[in-house]
Amino acid sequence: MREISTIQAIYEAIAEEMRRDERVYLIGEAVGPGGLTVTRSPAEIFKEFGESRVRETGIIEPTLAASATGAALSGLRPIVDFSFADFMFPAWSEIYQAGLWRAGHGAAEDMKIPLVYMGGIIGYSGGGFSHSRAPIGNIWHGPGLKLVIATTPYDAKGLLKTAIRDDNPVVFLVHRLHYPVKGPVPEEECLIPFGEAVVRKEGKDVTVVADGYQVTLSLEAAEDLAREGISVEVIDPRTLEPLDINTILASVEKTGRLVVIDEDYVRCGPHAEIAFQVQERNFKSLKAPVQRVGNLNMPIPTAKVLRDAALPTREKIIAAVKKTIKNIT
Amino acid sequence: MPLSNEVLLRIYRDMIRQRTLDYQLVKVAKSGKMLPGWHSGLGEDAIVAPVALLRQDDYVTYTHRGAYVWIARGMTMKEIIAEFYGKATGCAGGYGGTHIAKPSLGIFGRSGMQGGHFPLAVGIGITAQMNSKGQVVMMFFGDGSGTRGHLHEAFNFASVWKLPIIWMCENNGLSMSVKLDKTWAIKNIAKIADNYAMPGKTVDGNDVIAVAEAASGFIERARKGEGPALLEMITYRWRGHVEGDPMTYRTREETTEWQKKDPVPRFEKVLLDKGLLAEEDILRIQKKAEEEVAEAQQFAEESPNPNPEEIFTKVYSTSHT
Repeated sequence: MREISTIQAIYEAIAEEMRRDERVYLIGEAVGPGGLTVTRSPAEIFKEFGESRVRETGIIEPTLAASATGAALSGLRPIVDFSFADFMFPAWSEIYQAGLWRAGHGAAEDMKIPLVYMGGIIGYSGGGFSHSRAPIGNIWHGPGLKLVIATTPYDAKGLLKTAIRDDNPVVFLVHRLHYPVKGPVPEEECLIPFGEAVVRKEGKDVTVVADGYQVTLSLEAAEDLAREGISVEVIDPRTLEPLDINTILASVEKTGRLVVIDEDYVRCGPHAEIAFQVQERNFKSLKAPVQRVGNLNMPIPTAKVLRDAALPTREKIIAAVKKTIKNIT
Repeated sequence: MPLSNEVLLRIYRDMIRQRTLDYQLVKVAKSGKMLPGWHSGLGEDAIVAPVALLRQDDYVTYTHRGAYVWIARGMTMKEIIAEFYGKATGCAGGYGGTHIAKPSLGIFGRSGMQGGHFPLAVGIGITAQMNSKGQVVMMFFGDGSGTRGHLHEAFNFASVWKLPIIWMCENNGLSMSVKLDKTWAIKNIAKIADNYAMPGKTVDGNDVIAVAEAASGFIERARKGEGPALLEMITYRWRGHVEGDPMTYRTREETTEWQKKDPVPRFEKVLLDKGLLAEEDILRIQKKAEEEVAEAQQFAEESPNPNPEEIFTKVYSTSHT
């Protein structure tokens, strides 16, 4: 199978869906071919669809988010590129609103809000407190939103196409360190259903649930641990909403130990939700307290030594796995 | 553009219907039978006029105040009152309350975060523009929500993209309890239109003909693809921000002065002078509206409560393309 990068896969998915359905359009600051951000659309997309379907904007995050809701309610299918996921922060009210709108109006006449909010997690960049956050917990907290975090080119294409065709607001995240990574992607149509986790590496001693770039770090940690005779199973949920809790439960039933890794702040982070669901549904499967690794509850610093102290690292993941094995809290 | 007799009579009937509904809900709000949060629009009734000029396939966004848009777009009294009663038969099944929606009539709902519908209207405007059928969006907002930054984002990009949006500013001089001179650095909000390269106009918001004629020109302009416009309607609300508001921020005399400018008798006089209406017609239209509201209220009171077992089914749509 041919290999393409994650960013190529993203734009292939967008172009295919825009060809398939003329209601789909792309909007964002700097989505044009001259854009300065890593997610800028290639010149071919702009050339093929023109400026009415590839809308470059200024700095208007609240309008990006809420205009998509208005357009979706009236029959279009917008894809909003926020570039950095950090830029969702100024639009929080409107992003939440997209999720609240349907049930908030009693799903009147079965109203539909088909839109995608795309953002790149820019962690480990040295961008500091406002240019490297992973607002995964913030999004997952919002009712009515679906949440995808793609970690491979194949997943990026298949999950984004599913997101564009879904009749609900979907937040689609990819970590910037995954953008250039190449991998096999079929040329024919590929759609990946939401709510199906993937076991990235099988193991028997400890279950590690990780999303985004943490999947890559966890797989590296698992390799190191294997050399010490510790067998780690790494699960990538791919979508947090809906969450495939059954795959996680089955793994923990086998290993008896769980570590959750996510780049968001640990306080009220996705780690807590996953760990809680596991103990709630199968407390008896756990042989040791659950461990979590995430961003410390502090603004992310810029210098490498400082940000490595704040963010998850391979070493911290290894230490967390060992803690569960030693059954210490 | 001169307004047809048919349109004038329709505006009048809807004005009486919405006013009758408003008076009734003011009364019911006191009784505690309905959900809290009735924001009366009494005194601002002329604003119903421009909605009558829209096509069936146009779009509107509304504010939290009054019932003009819903009534003029053709929603039934029953589905409106039942929603304010929190009943299953309400337009939003008891989930919305003041968040009224009727997508088939171009009414998609309302953000409770005031000003949230500026950018929402931009998105609906993108749909109207991409549909290429000459549809327009009529977006209502108050001087209160107009101080949000969302206005700037939306006005600017609507003009950059020449979206077919008519920005309808109901300037009643009050941001809840705060007067205009404390919230805006200028007196007439229409002045800002120039900064967004669109036409702007200030009219007497209690004069149906002035409001409708100004809106009519802006609607035609938007239909032709010439872009957005801003119409400011100077008006006044007789009641408080919401029922229960003690209104300590203004004097009884101020309200009495404005009540002398009541848009309803003013418009009635125009219709009587034109011979479009006789005194007995006024009584008949009023009586009919009262019957309609009474019947709808009874319907709401007798309607079943929503089923709590269904709540989660409303959150996500199960469909995809």
